[in-house]
Amino acid sequence: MDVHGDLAERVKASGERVAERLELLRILRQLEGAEELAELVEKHDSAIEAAARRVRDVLP
Amino acid sequence: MSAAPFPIHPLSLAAENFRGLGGTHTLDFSRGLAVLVGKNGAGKSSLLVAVEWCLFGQPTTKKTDSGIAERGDWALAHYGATGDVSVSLELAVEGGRARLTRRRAVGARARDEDDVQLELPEHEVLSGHEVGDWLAWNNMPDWSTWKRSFCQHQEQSRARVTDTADRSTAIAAMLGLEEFRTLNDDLRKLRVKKLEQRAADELARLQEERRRALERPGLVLRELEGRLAESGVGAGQAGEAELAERKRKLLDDAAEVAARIGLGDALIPPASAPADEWIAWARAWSGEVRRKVDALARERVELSSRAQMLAASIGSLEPARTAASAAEHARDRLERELGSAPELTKKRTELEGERRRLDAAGKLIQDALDVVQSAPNPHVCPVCDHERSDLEQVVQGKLDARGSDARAAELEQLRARDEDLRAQLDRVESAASAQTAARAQVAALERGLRDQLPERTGEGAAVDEVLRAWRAEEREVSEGCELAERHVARHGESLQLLELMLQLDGARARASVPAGELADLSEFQELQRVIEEAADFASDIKALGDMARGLEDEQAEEQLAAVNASIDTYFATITGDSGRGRVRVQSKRTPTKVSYQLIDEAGRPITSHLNQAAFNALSLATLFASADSRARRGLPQFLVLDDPGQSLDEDHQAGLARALTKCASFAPVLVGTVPGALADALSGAGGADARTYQLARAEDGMSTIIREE
Repeated sequence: MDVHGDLAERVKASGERVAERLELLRILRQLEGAEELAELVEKHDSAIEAAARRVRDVLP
Repeated sequence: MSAAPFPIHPLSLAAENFRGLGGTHTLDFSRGLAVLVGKNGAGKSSLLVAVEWCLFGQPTTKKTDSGIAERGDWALAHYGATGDVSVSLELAVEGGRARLTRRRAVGARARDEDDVQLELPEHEVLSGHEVGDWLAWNNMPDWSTWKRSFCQHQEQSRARVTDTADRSTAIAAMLGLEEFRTLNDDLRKLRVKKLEQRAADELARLQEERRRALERPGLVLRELEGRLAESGVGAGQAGEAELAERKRKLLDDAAEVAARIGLGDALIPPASAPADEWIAWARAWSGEVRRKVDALARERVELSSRAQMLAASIGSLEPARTAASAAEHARDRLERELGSAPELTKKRTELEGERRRLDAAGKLIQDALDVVQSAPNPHVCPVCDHERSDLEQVVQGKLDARGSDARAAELEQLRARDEDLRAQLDRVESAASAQTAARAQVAALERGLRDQLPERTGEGAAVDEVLRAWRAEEREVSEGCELAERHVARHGESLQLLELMLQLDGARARASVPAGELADLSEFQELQRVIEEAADFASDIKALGDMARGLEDEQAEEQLAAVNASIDTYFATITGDSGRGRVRVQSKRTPTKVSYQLIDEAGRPITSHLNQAAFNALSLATLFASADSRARRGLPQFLVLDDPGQSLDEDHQAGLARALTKCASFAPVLVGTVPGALADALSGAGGADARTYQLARAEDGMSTIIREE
C-alpha cells in the first residue's frame, strides 16, 4: 500500500476542517503508518545511495 | 474523533486469597462510590491493588513497574492460601456484562504467566493476549496511563504535578491530545533529516570524485611523459613514427633470437599486426623464450655431462693401456728369466719323479732286508737260493750304504728345489694374471667409451673429435641461452616503453577531450530525481508533523478553557476556596513538542509555593479533571484512591468528599481511607450515596470485611 501517496492525496483533499484532518491522522495510526513510513525513509535513503553509486560508476 | 465502542466501567470485584485478605471478598460499584474504611493494615490497599492486578497483572505488584517502593517484596497470595489467587472484575460492556478474571497458582514462579480470561456477553471467551487487545481496542488504559490518570497512591501523587513528562502527558490527555502526541513522537522517530544529510553527502562526494576525475587525464598524461623522458624518449619524440620504428626493432630482435635458439619465426606477428595483437604477443613472448631457454639449458647440462663422462673415459683409458703394457713386459721378463709356466711345471714334475724313485729304491732294499730277515735260513737267498753266510749283513750294508741321513738330505734338497720352482711358477702366473686383468680393464674401458659415442659414429672415428664436437655444441647452446636471456631483459624494457607510448596516445586523446558537465549525465539526472522525491517525502513528513502540532494546538485551544475550569473547580472544591482562576494550564512549545505547566493567577508555576495540603489537593484536582475529561469524551473511567485524605485537614477532607461524590456521578470511584472525617463524609454523614465496607484484621491476622452498608 502506498501510504505516502494516499496520505499526500488525502492531505490535499482534507482542507482545513479539523475533524477530517483528525480522521486522516487516525488512519495513519491505524495503518501503523509510522512503521511503514520508517520503511519508506529507508527506501528513499537506499535509493539515493544506489543512484549516487550509478553516477559514480560512469564517472571517467 | 470517534468515541469508544462503549465506555466500559466496572460493576463489582471479587478477590480470593489476595494478599492479606482471607477467603473471598466482593465489592459492589453500582452506586458509583465505594468506600473502604479501616485502620492501617486492615486490608484497604490490598483490595485497591486487587483491582489493578486484575486489570494489568504482575507489573502492578513490582516495585520497579509500580513506582511504589513498598511493593518491592510483596507476596501475592496470603500465607495461609491453599488455592489459586484469583481476582474478577465484572464489567459493563457493550451488549451486556463481561467478567475479567486473573488467576495465579500459589507457588507460581516469577516467569510463569498469569491465567487471564475475559467472558464476554453471548458466552464468547477470550484469553491471554486477546484480552489485552480487546481492552485496548475498547480504550481501556494501559498501566502507564492508569498510574497517571486513574489512581492515587500517596507515593505517586507528587509526580502528577511535578514531573514534566507525567504532568504534560496527563494534561495532554485531558485536552484530548494523546493521538497527536503519539503521532508526533512517531514522526520524530522517523529521522527524515538523515535523507537530507544523505543527499548532501552523496552530492559532495560526487563533486569531489568528479573533480578528481577531471584532473586524472592530465595527471596521467604528465606521469606518462615523465616516465618516457626517464627512458630517453622526449615528449615531442614519442609519436607514431617512433612507435613504429621501435616496434620494428622489437620484432626484428625477436626474430633474430628465435632463429638463434631454434624457436622459428612462425610465432612472431608481422609488423602490420594491430596494436592489441602484437602487444598481446609481446607480453607472451618473454614466456615463450624463457621456456625455450629452459629447454636449452637442460640440453646444455646434458651435453656437458656427456662430454665430462667421455673425457673421463678417455682420460682413464690411456693409463689402463700403459698398465696393460707394463704387465706384459713384466711377464715377458719373468718368463725370460725363470721360464714359462709350462716349463716350470715340467721341471717340478721331473723333481717329483726323482723323489719317487728315491723313495722306491729305499723301500725296495728295506723290503729285501725284511725278506731276508724273515726267511727260514738267513744265509740262503729266498729268491735264487744262493747261499751266503753274510747275506743279511750284505743287504743291511746296501741299505746302510745309502744311509738314511743321506737319503733324507737328498729328499730335502729335492723339496727345496721344488719350493723354488713353485715360487717362480707363482710369480710367472701372477704376472700372467696381472696382464690378463690389465687387458680386461682396457677392453672394458674401450667398450664403455664406444657405448658413450653416438650410434652412427664409425669405428675408426677419433673419440677426441667427438668430444670436441660435443663441447662446441655445448658452447653454442650456452651462448644461445645467454643471448636469449639478454634478449628477454631487453624485450621487457622495450615492451614497457612501447606500452607507455601507446598509453600516451590514449592519455593525450583523453586529456584533449573537453569535460562534460555532471548534470549532463543521465545517471546524475536520475540521482537528482531520486533526491527530489526524497525531499518531497521529507517535506510531507514535516508537513504531517506540523499539521499534528497545529491540530494539537487547535484541539488544546478548544479544550483548554474546559480543562482549566475543571482543574480549577476541583481544586476549589477540595480546598474550599470560592475564588476562581487560581490554577490554569500553560503550554510551552519547542520545535518538536509541546509541554504543559500548571501556573497560578500571576503566571508562576503553582507547585513552587503550595503547602502540602494544597499540593495534595492540586494533584487530586488534576486526577479528577482528567477523569472528568475522559468521561466527557465517552472514554472508560474508573478512579481508585488509596487514603487520599492524608495530610488534608477536616475542611479539605470534606471538600475532597464533595469532589469524590461529584466524580462518582460519572465514573465508579473506589476509595480507601482510615476512619475519620473523610470516611464519615463519604459514608453518608456528608450526604454521599456511597457503599461503605468496614475492614479489620481478624484474630487470625487475616484482613476481612466486617460490615457492608
